[in-house]
Amino acid sequence: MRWCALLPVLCALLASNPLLAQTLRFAPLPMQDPETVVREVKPMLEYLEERLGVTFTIDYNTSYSEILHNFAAGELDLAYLGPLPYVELRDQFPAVSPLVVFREPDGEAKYTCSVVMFADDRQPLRELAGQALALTQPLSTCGYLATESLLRHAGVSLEQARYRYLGRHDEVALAVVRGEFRAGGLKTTIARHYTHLGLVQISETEPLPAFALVANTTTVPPELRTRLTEALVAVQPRDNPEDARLVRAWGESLRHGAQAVEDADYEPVRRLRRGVQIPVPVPRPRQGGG
Amino acid sequence: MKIDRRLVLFAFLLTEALVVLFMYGDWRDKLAMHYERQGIALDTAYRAAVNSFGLASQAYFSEAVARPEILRLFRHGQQAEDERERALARGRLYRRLWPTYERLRDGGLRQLHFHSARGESYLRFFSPEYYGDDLLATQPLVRHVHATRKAMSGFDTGRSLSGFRYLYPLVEGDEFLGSVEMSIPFRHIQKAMQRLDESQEYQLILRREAVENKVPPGFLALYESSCLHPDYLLEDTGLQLPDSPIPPSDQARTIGDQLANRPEVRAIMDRGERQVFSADLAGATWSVTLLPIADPAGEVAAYVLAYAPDPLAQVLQRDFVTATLAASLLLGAILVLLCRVLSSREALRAERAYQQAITDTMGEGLYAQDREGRLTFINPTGRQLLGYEPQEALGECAHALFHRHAANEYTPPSDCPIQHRVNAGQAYEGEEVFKRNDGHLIPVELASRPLYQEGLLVGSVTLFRDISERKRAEERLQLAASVFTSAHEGIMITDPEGHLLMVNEAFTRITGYSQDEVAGHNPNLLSSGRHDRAFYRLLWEQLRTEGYWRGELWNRRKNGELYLQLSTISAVRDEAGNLLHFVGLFADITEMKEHQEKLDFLAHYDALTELPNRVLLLDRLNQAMKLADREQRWVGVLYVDLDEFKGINETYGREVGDQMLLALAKRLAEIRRAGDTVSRLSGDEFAVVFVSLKTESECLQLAQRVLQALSRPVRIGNLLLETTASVGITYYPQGEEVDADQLLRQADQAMYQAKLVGKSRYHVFDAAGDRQLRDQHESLGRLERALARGEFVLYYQPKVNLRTGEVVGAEALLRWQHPERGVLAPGAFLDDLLGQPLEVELSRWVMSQALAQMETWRRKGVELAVSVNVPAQHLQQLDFIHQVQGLLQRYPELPRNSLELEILESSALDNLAHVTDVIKRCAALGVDFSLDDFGTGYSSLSYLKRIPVRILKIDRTFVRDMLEDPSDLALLEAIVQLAHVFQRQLIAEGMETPAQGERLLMLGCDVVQGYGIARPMPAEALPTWLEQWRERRVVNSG
Repeated sequence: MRWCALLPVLCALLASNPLLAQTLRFAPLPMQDPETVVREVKPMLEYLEERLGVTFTIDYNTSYSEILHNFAAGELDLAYLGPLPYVELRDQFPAVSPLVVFREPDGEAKYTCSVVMFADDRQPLRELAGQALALTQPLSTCGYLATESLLRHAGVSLEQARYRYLGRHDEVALAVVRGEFRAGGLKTTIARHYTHLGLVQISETEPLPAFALVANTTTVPPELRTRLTEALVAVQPRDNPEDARLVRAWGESLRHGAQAVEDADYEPVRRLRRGVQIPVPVPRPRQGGG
Repeated sequence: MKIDRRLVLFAFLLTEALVVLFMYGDWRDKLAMHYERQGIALDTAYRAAVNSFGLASQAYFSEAVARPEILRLFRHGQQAEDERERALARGRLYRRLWPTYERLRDGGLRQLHFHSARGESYLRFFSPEYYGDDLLATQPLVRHVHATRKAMSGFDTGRSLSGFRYLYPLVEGDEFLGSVEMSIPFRHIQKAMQRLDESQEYQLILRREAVENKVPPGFLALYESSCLHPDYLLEDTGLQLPDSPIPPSDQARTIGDQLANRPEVRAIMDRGERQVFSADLAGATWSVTLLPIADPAGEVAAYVLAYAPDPLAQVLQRDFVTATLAASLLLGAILVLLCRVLSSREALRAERAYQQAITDTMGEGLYAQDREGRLTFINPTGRQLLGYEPQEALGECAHALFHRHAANEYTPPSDCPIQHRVNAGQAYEGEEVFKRNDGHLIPVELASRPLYQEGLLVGSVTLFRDISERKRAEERLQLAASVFTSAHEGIMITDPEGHLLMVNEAFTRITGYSQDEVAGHNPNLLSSGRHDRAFYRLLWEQLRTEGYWRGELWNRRKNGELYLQLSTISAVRDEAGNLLHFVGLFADITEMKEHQEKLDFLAHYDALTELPNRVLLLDRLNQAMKLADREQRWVGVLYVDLDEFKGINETYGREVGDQMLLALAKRLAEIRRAGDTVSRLSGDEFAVVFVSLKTESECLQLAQRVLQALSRPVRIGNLLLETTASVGITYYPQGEEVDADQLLRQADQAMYQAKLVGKSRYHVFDAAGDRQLRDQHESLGRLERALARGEFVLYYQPKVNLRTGEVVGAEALLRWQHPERGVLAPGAFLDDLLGQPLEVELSRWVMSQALAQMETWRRKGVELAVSVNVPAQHLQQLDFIHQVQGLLQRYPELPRNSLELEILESSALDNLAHVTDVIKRCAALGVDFSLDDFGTGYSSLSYLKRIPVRILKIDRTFVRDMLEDPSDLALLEAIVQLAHVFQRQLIAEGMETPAQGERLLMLGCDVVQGYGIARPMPAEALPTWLEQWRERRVVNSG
């Protein structure tokens, strides 16, 4: 029938019509200061806005638990999450679905976590018992989970040390440099940003699935999810000079391309989590200067 | 002077405009000063805020940064050879100064940033992960500090947020290690300013260019375009970043939207100037102060905006409006007042003009005097009456100037009756005489009144009018009255009903009735009874319709005597046409009438016979002619003259003659029928007019009775006298129009004929003969005029010898160039000339003209004899030979025999002896004669022998018929032979064909003239003809 033939055209029109443009609520990773988040995430979002005809609002959250809560409440559509938060979110809210994982600078869609120290304060991990130790967040992959795993390998446990959650990875790094903590656990790539301040890596985990863009399947329709995935996977900065120019303003963790991901890819994380009970700390007021 | 209201209105509007302009200027000046203060206040607040942070940063720098161990660490961090060492030193520096940085942050400082000596970022306490970027390229302030190694501060945009930066060089000993920077985000400056003045709201807008050059792409989305200027941006109004300035309030945004529509805002910002603008917000006035903020390079990088309610501006505006309104009201009030004054002046002026117009328009003269009698005012009529120019007489004493009391004799001013009266406060009225400026005296009627002003006698006002006309009218009336009284004609005046009102003395003298006797009576008192009722009816009818009757009336005097009066009665009506009076004017013409009748009789009748005289006869004849025309009858006019009556008078005396005439007149009167007239014309001449004749014979019978009546003897006393009469008769009507005089003349002429024929008879006038005679007279008159006007010309016909071809001469032929009928041959007019003196005159003219023409030709080399025809009358004049001689003497150059005279046979025979003598004497003068038309007259051989003509001209009829008529030919032959016998030359006239020429040659007649040779031609054509003839002759002979 004739109107059936017109259906794709109508759909295309509806999809590209700015008046019908959908506003997507995006939660960046709470592990960086807001300025950095804006600076790094905003260009990518603008790319997607232009490409897909949608608009974004950034819902800046200070903790993973807050993101998970908002996601479950249907107040968020998309989030940039590390593997552990995703797994945790998935356990609580099965409607979450990973779209893409962002590649690391080495091109791999995986990353590692490290335990770092200031060069002046360097000491073996096993000696950390009783020492102050900085962690990011309970649900951060490189937080309790990875750090505990690495300490266990050295023969100690976090429970033996005086650990504190500082929230953000960079905060962990700088707090260690400032000498406020003897060691800290954080994402390796972030730790490397502070090498010029004398921060050194003591131990590193096996590669884990990289940070992902996850979608709330209850609020984001499958077609849009597909298009989001396609738009991000299509950016190939390594192979395409034009894409390389495009991503120059994107954040460090986003600019190396992305690949499609499935929930099954998170099995290593689930394995890492097994046997580790992440204690939930008593919430405390947010630190200034974050 | 009349002030134009439009001028006042214009002045008002101008003043109003100036006042409003002044008020406005004052308001704007105050506002500008107010804004200037606001601008200065904002500038001061901004500087105070910035300086306070500057002091703090200076303190921090001195206390915490500019310490030896810090400098050492900084130097080591830059200069250590090992990367790890350098990193360690940087980390240690970070660790060492962290507490200080935290304190700084508490004080509002955002960044503590070490710059290496090479100008690269060494350590950022805020975002320490970023380092190593080249600051000299992007931060002018760093460049400047590194160049001068002196502390410096300034506003600048940054990678994320803009703010004020304080830079200090770091020097250890002489070694320049780099610099350290402390920066405050605008948010803190904003707060500091807010603390200084809580009533203001401060905002910062950044120059787009300065932002876009420094901010990473991701950050640009945080900026919002300023509504004030598209080149300016607002920082992070969504408060995405922690140190972002406080975003604009709704009020500030609303005001901003208002200012966005004002182009001057953008213009001010383009010029980078400080300015204050006002805006209305919910009924309140707000001010917006724009303070430009320069970057270290001196370029405007941002604007600090201060929003605050501005009650003072509102007060100033209110003051302006109030003052303007008050001034306008005041001016309006002045305008109204002025208009009222003007209206009042206008009304006063109009009133004066009205009064002036009244005095100007007055028909009377008006003047005013002061108490001394000096003129203070004269209206135009007064000036005109007195003949003065405006202003001329003012100030003069009226009495001295134009009062002429007492018949122009001098009166001292103290005796001026007018002045005397009015100075006493009394009015004066009367007639006076005024003297005009040109000296003429005019009678005036005047009224003078004392003039009081505010109760005081200040002079007098006098009204006067020229009464010359009235005076003249009175004089005319007086004259009329005297005319009425002393007129020679009787005058009576009645009322409309015809009752006598007044009669004059002449009336009394003519009729014998006095005024008292006739007053109230009808004029029929005088009626004589000689006129019937119809007469009076007509008289009254004409009076009614035409208002006038004139005629003669027989009336009766008081003494019963009849008299004839010539009366003129006129109806006198008023302007509306109502009948007022009848005026009768009459003269006694009784005697005049009798005298006139006597004269009339003498004028029309013969005193002796009492028969109508010639005058009356002609009158009667005229009437008879009219009657005849109407009745289609004849009138017969008899002119009677007694034959030999003169002898009776001479023999028996005039008395007997008169008695005889009386008796004969009586007899004539007896023959007279009704309507006929018998008249004595003079002496023994009578005329009788018979009217209503049916035939001419009827008249002849009556004529016969007249002859008989007059031939009968008359007894006078003892004498029995006898006479006869000759009677001329003529009739009316005739073939042409005639009048009475002509008829009488015709009858007279016929009577003369009767006398000639033998008397005692009648003769009837020959009307046809008379007409012919008159025609001949007219024709002669025309010919005389033609001669006088030079209408006669001569044509010339050549005479040729056929045998030799020689042109022997030409005959001059008379032609009349008639102005209407063209060229006429003599046959058309010669008959009228025949026997008339004009014939001789014309003949003389022909001879003279022919001679003159021969002289003309001769001078041109043409010698030709010319013959002219001479009529018998001319030839027979006794002095003919002298005339010819005289003419020839005028042209002595002409050869002999040039002139030839042609005469008719008949003319020669009338007086043969004289003619023969003339011919001979002419021959002696060299003038030959030819006998024209030979053969048609008597042509008696004996005559031919006696008439000594040299040439015979054979008449054209012989030549014409000779070829057809043998008898003519025979006659011609005989003539030729005869000529030979008598030795006369021959010329044949009328040769028209070559055959005729040949036969004439054969006959022996060589010389011919006629159409066969040439037609008569004008004199000027003859030389050409001669030329052609000679050429032809040469050709023929050749």
